[in-house]
Amino acid sequence: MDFSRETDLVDAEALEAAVTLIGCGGIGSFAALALAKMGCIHLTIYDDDRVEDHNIPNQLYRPQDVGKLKVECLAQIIKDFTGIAVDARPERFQGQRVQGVVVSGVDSMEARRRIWERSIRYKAAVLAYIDARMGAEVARVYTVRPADPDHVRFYERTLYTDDEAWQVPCTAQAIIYNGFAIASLVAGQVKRIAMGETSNLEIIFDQKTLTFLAH
Amino acid sequence: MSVGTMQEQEKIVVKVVTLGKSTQEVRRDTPFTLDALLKEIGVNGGLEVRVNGQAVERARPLVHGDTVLLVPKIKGGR
Repeated sequence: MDFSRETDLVDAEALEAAVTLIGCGGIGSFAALALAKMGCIHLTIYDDDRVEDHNIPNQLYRPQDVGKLKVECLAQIIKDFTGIAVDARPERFQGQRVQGVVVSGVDSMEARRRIWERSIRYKAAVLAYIDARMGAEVARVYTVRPADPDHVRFYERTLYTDDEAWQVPCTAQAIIYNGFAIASLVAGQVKRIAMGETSNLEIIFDQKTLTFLAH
Repeated sequence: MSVGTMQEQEKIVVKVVTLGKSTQEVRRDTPFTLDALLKEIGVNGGLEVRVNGQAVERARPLVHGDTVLLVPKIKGGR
């Protein structure tokens, strides 16, 4: 790919670090494409789900992908759009060893806590951990450095339980423009990390009230 | 300045933004706390509360111009 239109924004070499994406659904499918298009060439994706009909309106998948493994479809889509071959892992993420930048787009707080405790917390090999959450038209994106005790304390305060979480009706869980927005925020955070710029610990974005909060 | 305008200026106006839902203004003649506001508008679980972007104690008095954000504890993604 010719990255000449972004060379003053991001250094292609800086994006060569490993990026692992856990969850290839409403967040992860778009984030994977954004990261690959931006130039993240060492991308590993995890998900054991298959594409269902109800994924088509709000995830990157095509009607012909229904019934197939998400990671395999996503790898093919990324290959078609960028030429990049991602490492597709059709398995549930359960404490595998990871390094570089890790992005989580899973669908429960229990899964987030498990990923955090088994593979991220105080792991020096993980340069940064980005946890993106979506519900209806709201997004929350956390970016922390797992080796930094202050960041660990901050992040763990955001790990509310599934019972404490907002119970969004099945019919209001996801809409495509929120997935695009979160993918954009995730890619922006990966770029900041890669370039050694300050990333935001917390970003909150709501399409309904057009609220944006970052610090 | 008219009397009506002066009275309007003495009101405490707080913006309440419930992310994912709506924005409203709450107007009061007398000081009130965040806790009183939350009880009045019926905020229960599933939401975090920020005032002007910061997490604060619920006993915090609200002042004119404050923005109260009610942030859903969302968990989706996959």
